[in-house]
Amino acid sequence: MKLKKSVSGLVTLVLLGSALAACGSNNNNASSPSASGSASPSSSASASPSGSNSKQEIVMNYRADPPALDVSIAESSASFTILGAISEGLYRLDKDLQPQPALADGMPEISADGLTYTIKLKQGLTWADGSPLTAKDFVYSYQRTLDPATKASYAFMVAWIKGGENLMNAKKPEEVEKYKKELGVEAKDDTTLVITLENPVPFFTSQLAFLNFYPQNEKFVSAQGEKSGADADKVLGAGPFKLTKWDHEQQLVLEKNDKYWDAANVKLNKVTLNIVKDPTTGVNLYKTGATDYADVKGDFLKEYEGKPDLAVKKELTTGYLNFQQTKVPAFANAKVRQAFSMAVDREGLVNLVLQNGSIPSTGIVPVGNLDGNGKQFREVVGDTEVAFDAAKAKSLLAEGLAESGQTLPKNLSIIGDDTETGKKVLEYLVSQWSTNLGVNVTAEPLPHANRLDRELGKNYNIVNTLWGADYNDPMTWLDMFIKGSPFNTQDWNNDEYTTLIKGAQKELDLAKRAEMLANAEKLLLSEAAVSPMYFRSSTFLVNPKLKDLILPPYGPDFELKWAHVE
Amino acid sequence: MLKYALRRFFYMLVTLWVIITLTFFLMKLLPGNPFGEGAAKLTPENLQILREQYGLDKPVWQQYLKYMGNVLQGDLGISYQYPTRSVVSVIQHSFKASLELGLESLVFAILIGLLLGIYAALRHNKVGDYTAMLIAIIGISVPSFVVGPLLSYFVGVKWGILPPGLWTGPEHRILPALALSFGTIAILARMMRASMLDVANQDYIKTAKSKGLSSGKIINSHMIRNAILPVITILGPIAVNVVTGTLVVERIFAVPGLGSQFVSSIVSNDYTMITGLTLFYAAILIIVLFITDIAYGLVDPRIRLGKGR
Repeated sequence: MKLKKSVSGLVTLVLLGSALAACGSNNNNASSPSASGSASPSSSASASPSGSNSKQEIVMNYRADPPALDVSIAESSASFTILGAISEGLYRLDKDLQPQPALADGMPEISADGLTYTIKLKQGLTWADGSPLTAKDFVYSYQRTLDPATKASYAFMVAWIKGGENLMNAKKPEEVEKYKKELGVEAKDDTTLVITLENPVPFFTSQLAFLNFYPQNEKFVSAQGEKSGADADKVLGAGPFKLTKWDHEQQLVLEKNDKYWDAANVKLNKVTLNIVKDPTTGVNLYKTGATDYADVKGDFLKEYEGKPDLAVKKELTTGYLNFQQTKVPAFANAKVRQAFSMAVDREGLVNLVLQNGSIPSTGIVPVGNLDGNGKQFREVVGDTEVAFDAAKAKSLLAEGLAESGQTLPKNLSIIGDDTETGKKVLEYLVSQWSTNLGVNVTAEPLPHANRLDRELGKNYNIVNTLWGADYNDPMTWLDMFIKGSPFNTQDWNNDEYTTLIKGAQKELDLAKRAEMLANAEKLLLSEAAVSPMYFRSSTFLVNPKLKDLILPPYGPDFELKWAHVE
Repeated sequence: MLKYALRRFFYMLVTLWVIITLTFFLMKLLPGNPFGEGAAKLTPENLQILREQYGLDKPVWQQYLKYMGNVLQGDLGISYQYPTRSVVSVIQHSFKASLELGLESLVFAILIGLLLGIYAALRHNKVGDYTAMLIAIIGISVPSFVVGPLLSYFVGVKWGILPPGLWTGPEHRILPALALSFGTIAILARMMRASMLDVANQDYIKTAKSKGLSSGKIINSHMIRNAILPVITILGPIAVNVVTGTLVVERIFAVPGLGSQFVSSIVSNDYTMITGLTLFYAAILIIVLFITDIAYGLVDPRIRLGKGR
């Protein structure tokens, strides 16, 4: 009896012990699991953030752990957001999306052919560790991003620099070295950087504000090896903040960088970012005052309607449909596509389904996007999309089918993401086509990766998809639909359109270029080659006392430099 | 005994190998690529460059051989989602929270579950029994993704007693551990009750009663001590279950654990992470089952086949 008892006691111990032993290597860390819980110096997270006003400290929810805080490797908006706070490029976009000189001393000197950018750096710049920051750090950064060994998935952005394509595609080490030397970026002296482009890029100055064009400290980065950007002590920036703590999947802490050139205008002393993946939990935390910033969606939105906490971010993101013309020959007829596009009431879509401040589309280029000539594209071009008209849609469909001699296949389907909203959008579209057009379409929601695979593989009838601007110029939208573009998955081939876009790519006169792009969009939409649905917005809860937190429409999630607590 | 243990150990390795092989090939059937949210913007040429850089352009069997070679050397590779972190380090880091949460919920489950079971057995077929078992049934049938948000909202927001999420201080531990322990409480309560009733009918209890021992003493030193034995033997597997099955609760309470890693790795086609985590979970389960087998053998020689040689 006694023996049996002690044996079973032992069994329990062993079982628990084995579970513990499985993570035995954790003990290398200074703190045991329970100790890390009570000893973590995160009292600010549990204290109400509003209580720390005078200290200029804020707490924010963040939806994901940033993958890597390395300028070359980073490709997600999470990395971009954090790196934007701890580092900086030659320029920084202000709240109106205008590039303001950051590490650069002034605006670039651009050659007449639009290819060569000569940029003066500020005097006496330093990295957060106090070491000097020079033009060479930019040269190193661009070379490293394009070096195939770095495996940078966004390298193609930097490949606009002359010789970039060659370097990115280099196979042998000696080729890499050769192309690195030939790359069109040069440090004339410590404070003069000269960048030569392959083709003129009218919005290149704004682009220099983006992550891919940040400098990197060669000594520091190469000392980290493959671990560059993996932990708080493996990141070095020259931005308004320093990363002082990074507890993966849990918390990041940013503290003011006193060595930053514009430290006088950085008011926040500390920003604590807690990783919160569930939006409901995020709102719960906001309600208890445990955070100053949270994502908010769906039913919670109604609760906050009209309150000062609610912030709407109008994104440079368009939700649209593509009609595959090879798989469904009827879609090769413009009238049939127009009918499908015209049969959807977009007001209903944003008011009944999306309910997040998104607005009905009036073209493919969203509201807020510039036209490449300093004006708002939508204001200049106006509405290019046909308005909702159920009766006209029905007659157009009949006309188009008769004209082309095609019929619609019986099992027409639409694919899209299987997110909560994604599924509702598909259902809405299906019901619109059924009521207004008398056409039965099956909704086929798919996991994101699967949807993308089928879309790019042109294996669909209709696809509900999204595109977000990579840069603030109509080209990021319009070059997708030229002949042979991998994103022209609907097989719409229009020579006039392709000529317009290719011409605009070479055009140096910005006014002329903007006009060509405007004409291209008009053509794209009059043909209903794509069927835009909405310009996306997203919604956040922001503590009304937190001022000047910028929510940029593309790129990073938020811009912290000018934020402060009132 | 040694021979028995060695044989079990060999089976264990074979099982692990089968699991990892199946996972590897099934995973390669997933559509899409592992190159993250930016992948939607990559042209086929750029994608091809990346595939070559990561060796994903090679035939799957070659990738498999290379991967197995690395695994045998204890290298689970680099995560695609976190290109600067090895799978091993991600597991090490994230498992801490899952383990802590699991063990804490186990403490809750044992305390509440056993008390509930004992109470029900002592009030056998009375109102107390039915109430306790009703609670147990609710505990088993209401999943943690219902209990979690309710606790988070009512205790966390409405009443403001405990934080509704995050994992920074000791006060952040209570709600997630409670939410996770619900199912286990029910299992333990029901088992303890059945075991107690079983023991109550044994002759030695009657003897003890007839000797004139106080009922408190009988319950303490005769009934509970005997009834708890079978309950203890299932604690091992339950512990593993609780420690590895924290996915939903982790998400609801923003606990930086391993469960959410599993889901995000599958969603983003993070090949190395999927196989690494499967291997890790499988290994824990199998090792515990192995130890349980051996331990049963020690306790009960009837289980040991071919004993005594």
